[in-house]
Amino acid sequence: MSRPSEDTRDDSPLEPLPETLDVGIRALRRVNPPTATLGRMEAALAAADENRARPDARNVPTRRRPFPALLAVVPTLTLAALAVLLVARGSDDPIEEIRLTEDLALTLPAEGRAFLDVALRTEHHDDATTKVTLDAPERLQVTMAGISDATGGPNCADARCVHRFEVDRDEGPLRIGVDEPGHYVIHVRHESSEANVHQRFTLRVTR
Amino acid sequence: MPELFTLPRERNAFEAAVRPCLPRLYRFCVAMTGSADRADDLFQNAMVKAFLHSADFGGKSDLAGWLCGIARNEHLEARRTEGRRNGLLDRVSAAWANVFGAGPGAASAGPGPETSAILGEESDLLVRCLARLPEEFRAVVVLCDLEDLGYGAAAEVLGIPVGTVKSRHARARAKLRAVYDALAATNTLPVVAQSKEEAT
Repeated sequence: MSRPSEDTRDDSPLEPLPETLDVGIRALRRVNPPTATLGRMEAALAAADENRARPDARNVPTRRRPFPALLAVVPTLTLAALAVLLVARGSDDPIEEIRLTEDLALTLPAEGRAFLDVALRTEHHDDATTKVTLDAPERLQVTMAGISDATGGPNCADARCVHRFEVDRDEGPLRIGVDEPGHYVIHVRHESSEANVHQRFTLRVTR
Repeated sequence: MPELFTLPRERNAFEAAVRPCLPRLYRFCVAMTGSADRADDLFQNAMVKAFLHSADFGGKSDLAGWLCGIARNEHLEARRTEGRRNGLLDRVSAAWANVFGAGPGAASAGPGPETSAILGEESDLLVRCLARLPEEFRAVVVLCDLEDLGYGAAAEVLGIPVGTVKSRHARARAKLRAVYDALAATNTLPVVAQSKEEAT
């Protein structure tokens, strides 16, 4: 691997890379974003565009903090815990990145479909409604307590589908219908001015 | 005087303008995070931020480099947030987890089967080696070797002087070699990679 061509007047020699790493670099240059990743990105941009268009989008109140008066009466131990939480969140870091992973298992009946209910962790948002982007294998049937896709249907490519919902915070669980045994990965992303939450479900289905 | 290229604010036009740069941005995200799952998040976050701040792109620099710079800042910020949470809350979470079960902090995403499937074995090894480099060295290797940026362009992305990029690049190369040798010494390289090295 040669050194970069621009502004190269440095005399210090570059350590040559092992052939294997050179091969790795060339191989990595051929990697393109998967279609599902592009689909999620487009959905995220659409959500950001809609948020930007909303006049009150940036005026959503930040997460409620405890009243200072409360601090005078709570036990010392609770004070310490609150301090830890506030420092961890950081006052200059209003949008929290949260990643949650959950392994799920489901056994199918001898014939037919089985359903699994999974909860969306929307308690991280203060907003009344949350935009949800869900990326799941095409073979799964995904419904959200009777809510239809905001886009009028999922956007499918390469055997995966991207669904977009707008859900109320107390909305019912996400319902997944499965017909066949297998190993499925489901990505759910929901965002607000409070937090970006990425839930990843790994579902193992047997019969 | 030639007119500077500016990014459109309208979403479809923005997407069309940045689309040629997306493979480079995605590779940068994979190489920096070492995981397809995290790269996916970083890619999305960087794109959303770029979209919301498209007016900040003055057209003076390379568009892909500008996007990579945003991704790098997002990556550092995510790591700082994660570090704060892990450092300060882990003890509390661990105690609570004993009572309530594993909490949000339990999530982890190292290189896994999904990442390997996307990258293939050859790139997977490179990404594993990169993941063992300190972030400041990893970023330089990714920009200068993977993306083949000149030192001037890499300095612009990283916001550091060109001379620092040059010296850091030399040290990063040496560290990368050392990491590779250490992996080879512990016999954790893939069989294909080892036999290739022995043959050279």
